[in-house]
Parts: sequence; C-alpha cells; structure tokens
Amino acid sequence: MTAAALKIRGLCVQIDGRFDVVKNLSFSVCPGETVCLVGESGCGKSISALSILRLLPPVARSVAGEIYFNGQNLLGLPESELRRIRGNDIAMIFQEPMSSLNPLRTIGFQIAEVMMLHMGWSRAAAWARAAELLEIVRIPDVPQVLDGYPHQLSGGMRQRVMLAMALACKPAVILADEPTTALDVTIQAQITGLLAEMQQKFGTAIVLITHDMGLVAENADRVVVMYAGRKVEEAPVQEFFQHPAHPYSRGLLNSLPQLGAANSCGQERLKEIPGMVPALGDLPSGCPFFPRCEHSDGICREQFPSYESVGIDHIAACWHPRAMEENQQ
Amino acid sequence: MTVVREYSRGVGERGEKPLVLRVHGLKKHFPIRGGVFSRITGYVHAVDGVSFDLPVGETLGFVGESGCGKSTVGKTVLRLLLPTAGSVEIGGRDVTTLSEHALRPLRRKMQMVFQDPYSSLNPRMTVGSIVAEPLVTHGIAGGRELTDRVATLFAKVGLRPEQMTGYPHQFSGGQRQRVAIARALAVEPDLIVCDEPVSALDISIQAQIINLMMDLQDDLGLSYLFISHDLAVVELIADRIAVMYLGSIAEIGAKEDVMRNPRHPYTKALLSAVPLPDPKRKNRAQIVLNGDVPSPSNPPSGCRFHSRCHLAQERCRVEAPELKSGAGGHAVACHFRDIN
Amino acid sequence: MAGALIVGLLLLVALLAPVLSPYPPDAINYRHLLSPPSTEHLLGTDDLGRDILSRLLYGAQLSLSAGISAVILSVLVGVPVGLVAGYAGGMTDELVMRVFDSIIALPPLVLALTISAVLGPGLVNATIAIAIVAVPTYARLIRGQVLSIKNNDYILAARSVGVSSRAVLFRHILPNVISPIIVQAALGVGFAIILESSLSFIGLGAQPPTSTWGSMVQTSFQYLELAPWFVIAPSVAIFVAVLGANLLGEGLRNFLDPNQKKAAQKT
Repeated sequence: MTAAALKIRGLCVQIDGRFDVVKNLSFSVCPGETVCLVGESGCGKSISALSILRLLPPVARSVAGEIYFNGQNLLGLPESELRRIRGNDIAMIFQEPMSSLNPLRTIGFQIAEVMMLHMGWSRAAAWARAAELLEIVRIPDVPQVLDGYPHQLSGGMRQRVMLAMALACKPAVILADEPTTALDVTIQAQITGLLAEMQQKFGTAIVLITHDMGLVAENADRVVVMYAGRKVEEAPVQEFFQHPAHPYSRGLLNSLPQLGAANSCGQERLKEIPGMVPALGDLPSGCPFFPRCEHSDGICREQFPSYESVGIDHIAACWHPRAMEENQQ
Repeated sequence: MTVVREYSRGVGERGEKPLVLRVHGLKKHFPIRGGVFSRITGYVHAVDGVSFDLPVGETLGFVGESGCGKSTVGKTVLRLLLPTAGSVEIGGRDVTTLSEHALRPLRRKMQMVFQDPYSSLNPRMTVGSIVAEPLVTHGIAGGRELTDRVATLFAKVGLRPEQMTGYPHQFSGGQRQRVAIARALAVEPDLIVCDEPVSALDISIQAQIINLMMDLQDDLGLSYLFISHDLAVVELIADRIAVMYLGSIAEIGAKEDVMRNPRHPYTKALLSAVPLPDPKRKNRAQIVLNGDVPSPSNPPSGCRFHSRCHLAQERCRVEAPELKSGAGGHAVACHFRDIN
Repeated sequence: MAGALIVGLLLLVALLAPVLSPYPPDAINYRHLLSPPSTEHLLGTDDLGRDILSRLLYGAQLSLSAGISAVILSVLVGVPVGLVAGYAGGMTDELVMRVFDSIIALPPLVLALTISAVLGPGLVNATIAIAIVAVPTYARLIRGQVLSIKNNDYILAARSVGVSSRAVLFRHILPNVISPIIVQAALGVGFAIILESSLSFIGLGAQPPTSTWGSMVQTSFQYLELAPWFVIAPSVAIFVAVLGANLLGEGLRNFLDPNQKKAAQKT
C-alpha cells in the first residue's frame, strides 16, 4: 500500500469549547484514491473537512488530533505556512460555487490569482494556464468565460470553474464538500465524470463529502460513515454496500428508494430509521445511535464501542455487529 | 367563457375513475422587465403547453431538472399563479377564470406541501395555530372542537398533541414537514400538490415522510401531484410519471413504462445520469448529456431538447414533435419515438 | 441595556415633574433674574427668574411626548402604507414610493420648517410636521421587509389555504417585519426630539409660556455669555434624551435580530 496523501488521527473539534462536533475521527486517503465521508446534516463531515485546512468558523476549534500531510502535522503549522498549502497542495471545492467566487472579479483573474500567488507566475503565464485549465474542464467559449463574471455562468459552469481553480496548482489532495448537491443530475454526471478523469490524470487523492449513496457507490474507493460526530464504520465500497456492519449504515441503505425497483403491484413502504438525529447539546452517552437502534441494550447506553475489524479493511464501532447479520439471515 | 366539455362532469376519458384534476394546454409566461420604465423586454416560457389529468386517489409524479417548469405547474394548478393560457379543472370546474373570492371554497379541495419546511411555516406562529388556520379560515371548527381537530391532525402525522404550543424553530426539519402536512390535511382536500417535499430532508427522515405520505394516501384517498427532481422517490410514490423539459412534457405514462421503457432520449439520459447506490453497476453505460439546459427565456426552436440530443436531426431543429399517445397512455414527444 | 435605563429614567422624571419640581415652572421671580446655580436654584434661573430645573422637568413632558407622538403618528401612517405597497406591488407600489422618494429628497429640517410654517406655529403642528417628515422612512423600511419575505413559502401556504389578503398582511407578514420598525421607532424618537428642538429654536414649535427643551435653548441663546448655565441645561437634556433613544434602538436591534438569536441558539 502506498503512503497516505493525507492522514487524520484522532481529530476532535469542539464548538464553543463545549460540544463535540467531531470526536476522535481517524481516516486516511492515498494518492489516486477517493474516500467518501457519508452522513446526514450535522454529523460533522463538513466540519472535519474544514478543519483540515483550518478554515473552521470562529466558534469551532480543533482541540485534539493530528492531520498529517507530507509528513507535517497541519494542526501544528503556523498560519503563514498553512496558507501556502491551501489551494496549492490541498484544494477545496464547496457546495455553492456562487458564494465561493468573488462576484466583482473576472473568472480569468480569479483562476490566475491562485497561480500568481502560490507559484509566483507572471500574469501572462497565469492567464494562459487559466485558459488551458478551462479547456481541461471542458468549458465552451473559453476566451469569453475568462473575461466574464461569475453571475453570467450557470451553476454547472461555475462548479467547473471551481474545479479549474482547484486544479490550478495540481494539488495532491482535493476536498470536495457536496460539490454537486446544488446541481441537476445531468450536470452532476458531467462534474463527477470530470473529477474522476482529473484524478486519473494527476493521481489526486479525493475526499468526497456527500449524503448521496448513489454518488458514493459510483465514486468512492472507500467509505467512512459518520454519525453525530463519530466515525461509525469504514469499509471498501463494495464491501460496504454488500455487508454494511453498523446498524446505522444498514438503516441508511435500506431507507433509500431504489431506482428501477418499481413494481406494478402497488406501493412498497420504505424501511425507515425511527427517531431523529440527536441535537448537539444532548448527545446520549455511550453509542450515539442507541436510541434509534433496534439492537441496542445496556452496554450501548454506557460506552461508545471500540472500532473492531468486521472484514478485510472493514471496521465498525458497534457492540452487536453480528446480531445484524444473524437477523438478516 | 369556455364551453362545458364532455369530460367536465369529472369523468376521465379512460372512464373508470373520476378525475380530481384536469389540465389542458397550460401556459405560464413570466414577463422579463428591463430598462428605465420597467418595460417588458421578453418572456420566460416557464410552462408552455402542458396537459394531463389526474384520477382520484392516484399520484402523478412530475420530474425534471431545475427550471423545467415543474414547480410552476404546481403553483399554477393551485392558482397561486395566474396561468397565461389553458385550463385547470378541479373536480370538473375550471378554476382559471374564477375570481379569488369565488375560488375560496374550492381552495378546500386543493392544498400544497412545500419543499423547504423552514420557510413554509410562519416563524411567529405556534405550530398549533399554523395547523388551525385553514380550519378557522374556512369556518370549519372553532373553540374546543378546533383544538380537538388540531390534536387529531397532529396524531395523524405522527406528532404529539402536546407539541401544539411550540414554535417552528423548536422542531427539526422532518417534524416541520409533518406540521406542513397536517396543515394541508386540515381542510380534508382531495388534491395535494407536493413540491419537492422531501428534498430538503436527511435520508433517514426522507423515508419517514415518504411512508407517511403513502399511508395518508391509502387512508384518506388523496390524490398527489408530486413534484421532485429525485427519480427514485417519484418512482416509489407515483402511479404515473411526467418528465418535463424546458416547460413542456417530454414523456408521460405509467411509471413502469416511463422507468423501464423510456422512449424519449431525455428521459433515458436523465435515468442513466442518476447515480445508483450499487457499486456493482458502476460501470453501466451512461448517457452524459452535453452542455446546460438552455434558458427558458429563449428556448431552442423546434424540439426543445435538440440542442442536447444525440439523435437530433434537421427536422428536430425546425419542427416541434407532438406529445403522441401510445399504448396505455404512454405518450412521448419525439420524432424518433419509435426508433429508439 | 443603558438605553432602556436612560429612556426609562427620563420618562419617569417627566411623569413625576409636578412632584420633583422645586418651583412651579412659570413662577416669575424678578429678584433672581439669570442667577447662577445655587442651593436655592440647582440649575439657576432664566431671564424671567424662573427655576431652570423645574422648567426642564416640565419641558421633558412636552419634549418627550412631542417626540414620541410624532413617531407614533408616522408609524401609524407609514407602516400600513408600506405594508400595502410592498404586498400589492405594481402601480400602487410605484406611485406610493415615488411620492415618498420625493419627500425624502428634501432635507428634513427644510421640509418640517415648510410644513409647520404652513400649519402655523405651535407644538401640535410641529409634531404633525415632524411626523410627516418621518413617514417615508417607515414606509420604505417596511416595504423592503415585505418584499423580502412576501415570497416565503408560508405566505404562499396561507394564500393556498384561502386566507384573505388582509389576514395574510396582518397575521403572516406584519409580525415578521415589525422588529426593524420597533428599532427604527426608538431611533426615530431621538430624531424627532432634535427636529422639534430645531423647530422650537426657530420659533415654530412650542409657544411661550409653555416651553420645550428646544424653546428653552432658543431663549437662552441670547444670554449665552451672560448665563451659560441657562443654555447648557436644556442642551444636555436634549443630548441625553437623543443618546438614550439611540442606545435603546441599538439595544432593541440586537435583541430583536433573528439572525443573532439563531446564532446564539446554534452554539
């Protein structure tokens, strides 16, 4: 196995110094690999990504853990050095491309700026490269877009621009936070296709944050499932969809309506996970999922389970991973 | 005044079931204003000639990408927007020409559930009074009976009656959507227009709300006009599906026909673009459409899909295909519907 | 909240003026013309030998009630007009807003001056003039708020239920747009007090023998060198009242701002 491009160990993030939004999160991503962080809103997946580049909102703070990139711990780096890594070695793509582009600057300027800043390129060279990048992300009419402003572009086009900006410095790692959630499916297919292509070409490591199981299945090599700030399961993608070990993962997969499953003999109910995601302020003790879990018992209330191996490269934090499988049979 | 048509007594062409909703040639154009005196400089053709009918107790799903006009169809059906042309018959009565006053009693028959449960509930009202408002407005109940009715509605949608005194911000997204559903049910409507009712919700909550809506349909004999961009959800809940592209219906039919045997190239592309939660089918053949959806203020000539269609030929650029009905009411608007 | 404290104290003082005043406000004493502050007259006396403290306390009644009633008047007119204009849109909106734009285009003091000159001098007329000047501010503010929320789904939901336009306006829109108006009204009291003082200073406000703080400044102005305490006392009163109103407005803004509240809840 190759050395990880990015390695996160025991990351804890707190809000207001009281609430744990991310607790003891560890995962790594290798060059050319895509790891999907999956979970529902508030599970801490976006916060984890933001904490990698130390872009957390002021109320949140990483309080423990290490984030290794190129042998250095990003959490220990001074701000000035981290700035050199942001956008250069590790790039981030956000859900809403409109709010991450400056509305008053031309597209060309914004892409070129990254390269002028990080690689010290001349204006002319940076603009030429910007044009090239827009070609790579298959934007039609490149000269016009270069001189255009963000509001003149459609959502899909803007996300392409974001992708071009992310690729500008050939980053080793791309953190993509719900990059296609705001887009239509046909446009989503274009963007994910592009991302995969870029990954193959440059061997980029990708951390893809999403709640869409379809995207996970089609893009991930490995899956990390988060619930209430904790990693509850990690597995290779095939294994995950075939043998999800954590009751939450299983619940998520079962609650999805399946395309193409239509049967003419009337409607079928979905299997739902009862209850709702606990609020940050009152996380239950023990396993955070126990109030919604059909297999929970005394021990689940008391203690968060340790990560146990349940298959090849497959770990889950559950006291009763086997109970699940017996139930299935 | 439109002449009373033969089907306007509420019986559909297919005869068996009475229709709750019949829409014919519906158009909605929004003016684009510009210049100093807000002159009208053009029109957004949000909905451009849409016809369909919805029998009692059935669900018609509307799918399509953003800007295809599916939400506008829903709002125009409920007369929250005035149609530019066409007719909307609710229970056999054309509502497009009625005054707002004459429309009020008919509003009891049709309700709406919105996408964003955060903006669809008035933040300054208790959820109890939000659900009670339709009952009060239509003079259905008051006093003690009102409280009882609201409590019953709360129970029906899986909320506890004690929660009536809370304000929307004290509820989670899923619970808010339940409140919105209770409000829609309050007047015992025949038709509920659901505009992306689950797309703002988390996956595990989405399943709860879909199940609730299906149960309510079974119990109360409701008809849904279910608007969504999520094909899997629509496939689950709908009986018939209409696929919209740039303001008109590209394909409409029973869900089995549309999902299993799509005939319009756009439906095919849309279906193949949906990522499937099954890594084994990762490498299936996918049709990736080029380019973006054109602007509805300046739609392409001829077939509106021709600019992105891999089958497009000269004829498509010139002549708009008719929505031609085939077996089982499966209708496709494509010149090459029989070839592919 | 300092603002609430100051304003509350001022109101209390104004209400209790008859109790707190050491002398009747119009008791003329020719033996003590323009005498400096002393134990007898804490803030000195004016050109007719009247006790300045007493006049200040009674003046508070008039100045504050003029300021407050001007604001109430303009809110009562501006809010419904802005509400209807914003909700109805179209020609109604265009018309109303163009009229208000032209009012706002004039400097407030000049406009207030013109109006009270036309209506004739007097405190009531001055108050009306101030109210007219302030109406567009409230109307525009509330119209903007209405425009920003009128397309919210809960408005559509209410309409789809068949709720009448009036009920939509007053039950669904008004409660959601009123907080900036409350803030603006608090700030507006300060503005109205200043405007009233200015009008009184010019002689268009309260007429002798009644006096507001503004008219006190006016008479005292002639004795600026001779009896500086005479001008300082009402000026400080005006300053404190306006400061209090502004602080109250700021405080209310922070208190009522839903975004800040939400942020506080989230964390």
